[in-house]
Amino acid sequence: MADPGLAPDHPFLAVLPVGRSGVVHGPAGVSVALRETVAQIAVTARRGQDAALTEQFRARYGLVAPTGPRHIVAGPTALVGIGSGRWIFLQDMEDSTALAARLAAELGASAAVADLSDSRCILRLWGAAAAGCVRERLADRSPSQPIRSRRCGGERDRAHHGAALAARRAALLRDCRPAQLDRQLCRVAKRQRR
Amino acid sequence: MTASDIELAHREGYRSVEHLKRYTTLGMATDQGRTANVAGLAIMAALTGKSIQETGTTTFRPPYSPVAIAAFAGHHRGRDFRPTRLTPSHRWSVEQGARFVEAGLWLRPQWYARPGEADGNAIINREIRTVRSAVGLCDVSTLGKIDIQGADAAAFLDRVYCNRITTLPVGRARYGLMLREDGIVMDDGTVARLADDHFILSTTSANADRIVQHLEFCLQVLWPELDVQVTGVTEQWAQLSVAGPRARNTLQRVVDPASDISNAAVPFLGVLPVTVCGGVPGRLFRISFSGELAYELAVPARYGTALAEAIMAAGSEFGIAPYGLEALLVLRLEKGFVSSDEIDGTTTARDLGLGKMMSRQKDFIGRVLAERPALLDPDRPSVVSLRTADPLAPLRVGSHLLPLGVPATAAADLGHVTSAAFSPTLGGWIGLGLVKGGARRAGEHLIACDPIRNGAVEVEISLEPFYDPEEVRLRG
Repeated sequence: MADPGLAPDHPFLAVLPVGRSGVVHGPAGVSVALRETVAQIAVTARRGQDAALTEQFRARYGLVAPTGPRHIVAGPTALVGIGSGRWIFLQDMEDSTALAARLAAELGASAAVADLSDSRCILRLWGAAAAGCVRERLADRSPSQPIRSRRCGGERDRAHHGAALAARRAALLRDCRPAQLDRQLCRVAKRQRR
Repeated sequence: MTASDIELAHREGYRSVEHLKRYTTLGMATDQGRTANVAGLAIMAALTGKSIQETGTTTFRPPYSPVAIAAFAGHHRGRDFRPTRLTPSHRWSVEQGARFVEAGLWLRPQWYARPGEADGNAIINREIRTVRSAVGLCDVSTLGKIDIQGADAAAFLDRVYCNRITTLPVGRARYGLMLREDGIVMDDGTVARLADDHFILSTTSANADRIVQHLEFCLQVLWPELDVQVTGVTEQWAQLSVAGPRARNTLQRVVDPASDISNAAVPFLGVLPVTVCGGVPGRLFRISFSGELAYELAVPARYGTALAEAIMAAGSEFGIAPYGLEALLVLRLEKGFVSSDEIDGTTTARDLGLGKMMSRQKDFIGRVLAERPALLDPDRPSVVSLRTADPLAPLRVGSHLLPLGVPATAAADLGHVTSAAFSPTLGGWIGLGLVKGGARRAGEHLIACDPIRNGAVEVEISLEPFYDPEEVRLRG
């Protein structure tokens, strides 16, 4: 994409307060950062093409497509299972439109591709209390969910935990006050699970 | 219940505490058996000559101790009762002086007050006049957007819309009407064809999620053999409507020169993938809810604010102004377009004057039950346009429509006013109403009776839109 004359404006930037909240001494319990540059592309298998698409994921991107609500990481890309024959393809890049077009071309007749990068937000959570925060405030989730199964992973894992929590609807989160945030993320997590 | 109820149950042979519970409802009240149940079981024990332990107890269920209702409510109080959804260009609207109104979960700009403006009606009228005479900008991002792909996508849409979609050429859009299984209209919107196997549907703002669910149900339950993939993309796109005689002039300064948006290249209901402002990908739909030359321009949501600013800068020479939901609703009333006020869960396509959209060449959801005799009754209420005989006499939504010169009784009721507003374009009050046998009442005068607010005003029925019935401006 050429250098556009329109400046992007991420809604979460107005929501997440810069600085420290709550207890002011000692290391922060939970830190939150917005990941703006992760492209999120919905990939849905065309009818009868689940096996072909799974094979394409493996051959082209080295991704073993999960069959349940899990995520798989391979190099710079990841897949999050969101339903039967449905995944979110994640890759850290700014031009999600180009990525969606490339995926559509590469996957051809085996998949329907739709860019959802602007409709979901990814938050990175870390810190000593991050796992507890997720467990207590965000999740009443099954053991198969990525947060519980991979909550002690490295930086990339944490990023993809964030992906699993990706906002089903960015507008839900847009400009919500911090007091609303936890509850709305809970809802997002539940939607994601469904 | 009382102690005598336990005694009665004992006399009638009830001994098991589980039977006693179900016969008398002992232990089913708000205390869930924690207080009265113990006393009741003690009475039964005394009557049978057993201990309470021998008599037995029923299963207690939580809460075991009183819980304040507020604890259940938790955060769901006041403004936190439900999430608030803001459009991608919300911040820009705030800066433009928007007053917001709740529309479902969304906050939508009701109108945009300029410095010194305080009268909402005056602001709305100014915005309407701007759209009719120059160009206006309206945030329509809340409309539902659904991405449909697959080899059978067109055939699928033929089954869920009552009108034909398979004949829609690539690069064109069509108004579509979905019916429920019972033949009543479920939702309306547009269908745009981006490729042979790729469509974008628009839905009403309130029904976006419901329609996605409906389509998924159709695919998973009714027609699993179809190769169709559905993705809700409402939040992916910021969508702005640019309406008015200078709309094209304005957009020609925003859309990159490689895209020809002339009337020949993008006629009414044309669709064109474009780039804007130096490379931002977008989609241009020539769709009008105002009756004017109008376009809807969609870009990824992150660019919503910047696009609104760019369009305003581009249209400044032409006198552009943002307009809100109130102006939009008046504009559609002037044009006679139905909205959720008329698509109220009771009306059929015929009731809305859209019976001709129901294809006779194909099957679709609602086709069979829409032909039930009661739904074909020519005396069913149908949509008509209304105009007050005295242009300055207010017409109120909800007013009942009665013949002239008859007492205001339920027996004389012919229908009601569904939408009403003052039209600055026409210089008077107008509205839409559902009137029994409306299709044969053109030119008829009725009384719009509003006993609650103590009003009655004479109205004239029209079957034609009041504004640009030849659609010259729409297609210009």
